Amino acid sequence: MKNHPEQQQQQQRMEGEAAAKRSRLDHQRGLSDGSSFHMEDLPEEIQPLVLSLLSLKEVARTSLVSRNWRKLWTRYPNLCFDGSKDGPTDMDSVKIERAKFVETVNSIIQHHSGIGLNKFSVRFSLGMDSSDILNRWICFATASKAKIIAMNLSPKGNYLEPSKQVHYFPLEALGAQDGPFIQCLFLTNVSIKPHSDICGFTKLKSLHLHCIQIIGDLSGLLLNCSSLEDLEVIACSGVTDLNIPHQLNKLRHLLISNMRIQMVEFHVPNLSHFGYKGSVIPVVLHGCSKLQKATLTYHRTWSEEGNNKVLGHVFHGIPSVSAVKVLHVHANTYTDQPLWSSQAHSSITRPASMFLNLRHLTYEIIIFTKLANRHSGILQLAQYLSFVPQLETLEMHMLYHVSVGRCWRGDGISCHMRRHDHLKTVYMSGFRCYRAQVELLCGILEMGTVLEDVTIEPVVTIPWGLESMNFVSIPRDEICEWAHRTSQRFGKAITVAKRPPPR
Amino acid sequence: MAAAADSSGDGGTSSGEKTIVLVSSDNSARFEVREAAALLSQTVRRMIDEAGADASGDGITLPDVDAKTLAKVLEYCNKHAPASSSSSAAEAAPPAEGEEDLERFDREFVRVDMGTLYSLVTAASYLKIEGLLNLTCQTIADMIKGKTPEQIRKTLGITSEFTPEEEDEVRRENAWAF
Repeated sequence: MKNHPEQQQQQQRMEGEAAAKRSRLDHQRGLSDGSSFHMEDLPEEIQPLVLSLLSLKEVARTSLVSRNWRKLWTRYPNLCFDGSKDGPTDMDSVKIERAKFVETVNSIIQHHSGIGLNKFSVRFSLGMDSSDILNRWICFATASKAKIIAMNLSPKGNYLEPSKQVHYFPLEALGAQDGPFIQCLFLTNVSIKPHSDICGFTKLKSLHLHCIQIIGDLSGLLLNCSSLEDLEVIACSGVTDLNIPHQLNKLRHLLISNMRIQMVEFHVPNLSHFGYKGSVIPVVLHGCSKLQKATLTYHRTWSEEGNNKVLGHVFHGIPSVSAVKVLHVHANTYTDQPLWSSQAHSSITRPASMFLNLRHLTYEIIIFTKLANRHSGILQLAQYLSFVPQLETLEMHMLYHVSVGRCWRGDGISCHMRRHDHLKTVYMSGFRCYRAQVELLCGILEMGTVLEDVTIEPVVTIPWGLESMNFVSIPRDEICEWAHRTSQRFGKAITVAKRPPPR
Repeated sequence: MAAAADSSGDGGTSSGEKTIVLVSSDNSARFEVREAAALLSQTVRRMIDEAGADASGDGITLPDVDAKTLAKVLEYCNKHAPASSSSSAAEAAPPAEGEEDLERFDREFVRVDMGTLYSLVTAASYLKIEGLLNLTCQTIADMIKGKTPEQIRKTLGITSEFTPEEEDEVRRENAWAF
């Protein structure tokens, strides 16, 4: 029968046993009453996840909680040390004062287990007599197989070239373990001796070389970087050209800046972003059909010839980026006493290939000149618009560095453009109705068949605070009047911006 | 054996959308959920891919997740699932609910006892549900952040076995952090 006392007792005993068993299991897991929590009971792969959400200092403090927590501290994944006084700190870096820097870093790495190290980063002005200290740090990072290693040993450097005296960073150390481990290597202000026999780089995804004294064969090193996706070479010495003859199949981002080189040649079939800053030199990017965006920043040109070349260099000198969708060109030219010439620019030959995918073109142009209305440089753009027949948006940010500038009152158009059937949006900042600006915009208004949004902004928006050097006051009324007249003339609206839009 | 439990009313089947049956480790509970919700788990996704066309109504057994935890995990998945599912777009599609709503849900969701939190973070790791893993790890991290070692011990119910000498040693080692 159901309520037989013996059965009841048995039931109770069984339930009691089950409860005791549960409690034992819970206790084994350290959760005896559901209210205590043991970090070390978390699966191993989760502990570093939680710890990495806390700062290095916080986790160091938790080493006092219990023995197990002390062990966890020795597995903290991101050891990022910043001993520089100024400059922004990385979110994951801990700032340590200079006097205690070496001692603190050494103490931490001494107690670190070497297990689970993800990132090791040092930003510190290490004295030239301390190579043994550097070697110890490198030994620790490589023995622990850090995935990300970053070193900046002269944070006060000028960033335009390597400092005169730099520490040597042994690339071989990254191949000395029993298999490749390094995924990201960010070096600043050190010297390296690359060559093709260095191993350990086959997992490298990201390589940034800033202000590096390169002594040796960089191309040979890159030969072994079969997984490389992101490469930055900035202000390095020891390289006369960047000619990498073999394919870098995985490379998606390439940035070359402030290098004193004669040419650039890469084989990069999957490149998505290309950035270049320097003088006008030949650039060849073989097989580059998937390019999304290219940003080209040219150093100041002084000669007439240089000035004429720079704005159009991308179309004539870098046909290999012709598949690009978004293009930014920054140039600054210096022409003391220009001579107006609308013809000089229209005799340019057709480019090697049309830029059929280009949808968004931005030019940032700074013109140093004494005579704004005689400077015809930007008229070239009328030509270039015919090389980009699918263009939808044209942005031009201009700064004429003049002491006196008057609005041009002429009416003629000297540039004759081909009809453009896709250009919808035009934005010109630093628009002061100088002759070349007026003529270019009129040319566009005349030949653009689907223009929707044409805006001019008299204020200079080029973002490096040169507005204060804009000696000329802005004749806003005159500009608005011109805009109104011109709107009527072409039957297309021109908006005069009230304030610069966010960029 | 507990009776089969249905997932908290999502009415997935009525709209004709594909559902998946997930079974807890001890076989005590079966949950029928929208495919979009189930696919938030990379592990489930992989299991389905491997099972291929053979995936029958028998359901997918998850050997490392018990019934109680699975129920709670599915509560999360149902809330965070995208409005529609397609095998590759499910990751990229935004969830059906608004962001503020989700944040509120998440905050309430992790107001649980330690044992449950432990089970959730373990399950999220095993099932490879990124959002839940991030949420639970962050919750644990927040319990530790800004607390002194003594406070941490109290919050998490830990006893320190350090001898006074050991404590001194640790304090000295990490003097820079204190």
